[in-house]
Amino acid sequence: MLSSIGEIGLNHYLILSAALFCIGMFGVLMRKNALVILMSIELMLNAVNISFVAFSRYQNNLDGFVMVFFVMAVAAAEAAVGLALAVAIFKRFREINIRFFEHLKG
Amino acid sequence: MISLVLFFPLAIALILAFLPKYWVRPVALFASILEFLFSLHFVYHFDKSTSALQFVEQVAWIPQFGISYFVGIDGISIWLVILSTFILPIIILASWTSIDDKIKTFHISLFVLLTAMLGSFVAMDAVLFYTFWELSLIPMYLIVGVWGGPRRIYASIKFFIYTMFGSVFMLLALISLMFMAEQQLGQMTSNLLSLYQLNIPYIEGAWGNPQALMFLAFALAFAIKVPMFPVHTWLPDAHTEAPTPGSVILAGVMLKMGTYGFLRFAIPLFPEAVNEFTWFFMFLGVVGIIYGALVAMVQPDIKKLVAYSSVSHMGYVVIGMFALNAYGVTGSIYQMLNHGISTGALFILVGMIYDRTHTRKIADYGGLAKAMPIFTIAFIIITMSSIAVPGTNGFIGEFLILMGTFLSDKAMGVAAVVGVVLGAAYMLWMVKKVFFGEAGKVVKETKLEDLNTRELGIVTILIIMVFWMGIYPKFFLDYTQVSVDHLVENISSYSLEVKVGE
Amino acid sequence: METIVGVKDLVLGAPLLVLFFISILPLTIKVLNNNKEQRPYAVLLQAWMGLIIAGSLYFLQSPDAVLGAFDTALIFDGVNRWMSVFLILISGFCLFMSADNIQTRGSQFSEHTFLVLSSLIGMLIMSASSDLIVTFIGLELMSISLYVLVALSKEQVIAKEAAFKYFILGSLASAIMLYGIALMYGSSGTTYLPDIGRIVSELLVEDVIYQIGSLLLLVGLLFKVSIFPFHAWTPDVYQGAPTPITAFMSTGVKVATFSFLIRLFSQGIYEGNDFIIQLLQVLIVLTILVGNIGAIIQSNLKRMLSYSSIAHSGYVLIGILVLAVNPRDGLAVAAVMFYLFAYAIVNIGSFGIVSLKEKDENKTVFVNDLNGMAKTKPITALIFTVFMLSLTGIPPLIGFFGKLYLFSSALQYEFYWVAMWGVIGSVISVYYYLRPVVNMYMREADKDIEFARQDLNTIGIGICFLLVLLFGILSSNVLNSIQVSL
Repeated sequence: MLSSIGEIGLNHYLILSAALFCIGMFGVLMRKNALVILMSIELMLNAVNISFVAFSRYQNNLDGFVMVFFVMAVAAAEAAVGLALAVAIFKRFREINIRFFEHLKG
Repeated sequence: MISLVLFFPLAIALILAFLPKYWVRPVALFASILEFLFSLHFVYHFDKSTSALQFVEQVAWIPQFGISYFVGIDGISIWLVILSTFILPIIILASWTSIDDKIKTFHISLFVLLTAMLGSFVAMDAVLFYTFWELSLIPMYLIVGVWGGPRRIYASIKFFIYTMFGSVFMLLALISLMFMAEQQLGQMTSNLLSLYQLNIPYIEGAWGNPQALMFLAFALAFAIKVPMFPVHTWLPDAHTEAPTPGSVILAGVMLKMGTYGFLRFAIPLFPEAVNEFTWFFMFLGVVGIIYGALVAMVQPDIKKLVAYSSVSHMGYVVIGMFALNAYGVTGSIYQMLNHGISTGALFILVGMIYDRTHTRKIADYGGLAKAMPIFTIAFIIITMSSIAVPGTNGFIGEFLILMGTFLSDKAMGVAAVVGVVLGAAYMLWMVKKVFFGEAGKVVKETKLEDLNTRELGIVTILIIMVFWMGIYPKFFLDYTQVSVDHLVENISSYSLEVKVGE
Repeated sequence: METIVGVKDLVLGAPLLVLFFISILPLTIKVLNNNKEQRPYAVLLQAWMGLIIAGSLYFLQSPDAVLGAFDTALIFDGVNRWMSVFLILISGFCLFMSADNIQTRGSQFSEHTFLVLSSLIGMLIMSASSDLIVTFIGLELMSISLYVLVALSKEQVIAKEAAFKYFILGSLASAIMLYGIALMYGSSGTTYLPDIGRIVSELLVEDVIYQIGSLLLLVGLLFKVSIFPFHAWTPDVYQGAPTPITAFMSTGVKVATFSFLIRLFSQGIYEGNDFIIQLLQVLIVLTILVGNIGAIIQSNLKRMLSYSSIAHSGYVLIGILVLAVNPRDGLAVAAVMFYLFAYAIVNIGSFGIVSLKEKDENKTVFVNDLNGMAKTKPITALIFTVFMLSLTGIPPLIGFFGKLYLFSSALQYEFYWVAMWGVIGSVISVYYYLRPVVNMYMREADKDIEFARQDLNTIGIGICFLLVLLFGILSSNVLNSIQVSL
């Protein structure tokens, strides 16, 4: 029965990647909790990773795989910085809901 | 020699910055007189028989674009140069007592402004001209904005933005010309003499007519400066709020930059477009004359009245120019000089009584003649020059302009004559109200002193000029004759040569 | 296995390595000192040693050589050399400012220096890279360092908020750009820019994935230089960050990103892409309008300068637009570089003067704070006036020539509409650039203007001022030297 679904090709991966990317973007733009936003950013970066892997696999090219390593390293660094910033804000505001970011207006 | 005259004021400005306060005025006065004497060199060595550019200096500045430092003087610009250097010592003398705050900055602004004005009169490279044109905005803005009246900040910003708005379109047209030069002449350049040779396409009746668009871009910038109706609205505010020396330099020289721009750039570069728009600009000129006169008549403030009279007088200059014949153009150049002297003098005189009474409302005055007889005489003489009474310089200018206008378009000529009558009307009315009749508030309340030696000196020099230019104009017109004839005869394919050797 | 990294690569990459080691130096010293912070000027000296060495290494390369390092992942050509040296200078001046500014010179100055130098390395990588992967690394290095730098201020509330906003939106943009890179990689099979450029005209113009990818890449980059509609973060972040970092951001990031944009466009990635060309025109006009009009209503000096920098990004983008039409246009590249140079020195100088005024940690500088400065501090007032006028584009200052060159290249390719809005933007900008000038000269001060004692900062400002005056008149020499090395 599984074989009637058809082979999993490049397109499937790309659609998955795009879907995850969009979910992540939605999360960044719409959610109010700072940690959720951080998670969404990570989601986006990893969605792109899926794309890279898929492209690399279907073109028999190693470049994409290499890129994934770089992206993962960078994503980790970004997460570290983001969490550090969230901690700094938490210490000040006792909240990490971005509703409280109203000081910069004008 | 031109570079010396051009950059000497900048050097003086730099020196002034380091002088102790006490020395600023005398040094400034001495330097400005020196500058005037330097500029007389041009008068003595001018070759009146040729229309070619003289005293030329040319040095490459930005070779990638063909922009060079290229300056020269011909019959059209020579008297404007002299007017500028002549007026500066007068202004410094006139402001001897009225400006007493931040005098260093004031005199530095004056000298930088002089360089900017001189630069635009002698620049023969379009980008160089633009540089000096824009450069004049800053010191003028400072002069009005720092030492002016209560609404000075509004007036100075209005002046700045208004003028710059016009100029930026000129910049775009200029750049287009440079590219056209690259196409047609093989090399990108902003050298005006090369630009004259361009064949700028003129497509009849089309919206995308390159020549018409470029002409209008230049014309906008110049029309704002002149100022022509309907883009004149910055002038009354600027004049009312400016300090006396600011008004004098504005009316005396800066407005001429606009009309000079027409003569040097807009008209020779775009002959077919000029042909098409001649009537329109003459019409605007006439409207300026009559509108300026009518509004002047209802002004309660003397300075504003004189400001609107400026609009009116510059209207004459415009119609003379667009008559495009020898009489008209000569008359308009002469009138530029006249206006500089007589309106400049008017502002100085107004400044003198303002210094004493601190009011400019006509209603406060009356019967001034009894209290200050010498002042009255001076004022009346200058008024006669403004109205164009025969014997004064104003008459020569207006007469030539009217002749030129009648030759070109009779209807406009008639309208212009009406303007003469109106001009007489508001000036004489003002004189009567202020000097004669019953003694007004200020005469009764303030102790008025007549002109002191310094003021008398200024006024005398100006009056001498009025009569010299009025009785023996030949001296001045001899210099402009050949250049004007050359322009008028060759308008459709204008070109200038450079006189080699000094 | 063959070593792909050879001596040549190390030599070419030496500036980056030097900077890396120097950046760790103050931190190391601090750790060895039991976490006692050195005196700021000592740290500064160390940093500057590194900067000077790195800068001189760039001069070792001959002027017209095009050298590839790390198997041509980094390409050092004329454009890159100029931009790199310029970036190093910018960092140097910003470090001058940081050493004196009250918010940054505290107990974390070594960390601050480390981060600035890291960001600089990222910028250098970005401007030299010719491979999309390397670009991403450089961009992220630059950005992440900046996120922390914005937060690293003695001032508590606003800086952290600004940093967080910058972080979130910046990461979003990076992710978008990364996705663009992925799609471009997928459709072309390589991440090496010249190779992609070669295939663009053949296969890829019809390929939807490629078009989307290149668009996303562009979007990510345009975010970094605050082009409409991705400009909304700029005023808040610039205002919240400590002033030296604002100066660093507004100049260094733009120079680096535009360097890469030059590389991107001149490899022909967008050649023949009409959609992008039209999009760029619209964005340029809107950016110029938003930047200029937004600045008018600002009373906070830093916010005003930030809106002004948005507008200036719009102007620079005009040059890039020209490159989209003709990737080989040397004049456009030279014009962009010259304009960036003019804009950057003036901006650093202006922020330097703002920094002079910040004596208190928490006190923001309003435009009205400059009232009457002409009387008490005439030289500073004059310098600030010259900077403002240069930003407006009044001849004969350097800003005018930058605009002249950019508008000329725009008109050359018949982008009339864009040029027209460009000049109208300049006119609008007069109003808000002149307001501080008005305040300084024409209004009376409520109380005396006091400056903190900031010697190095003053020196930096002075140098900027001289450069502005000098290169205004000598602009053709600068232009010439740029064009020669192209």
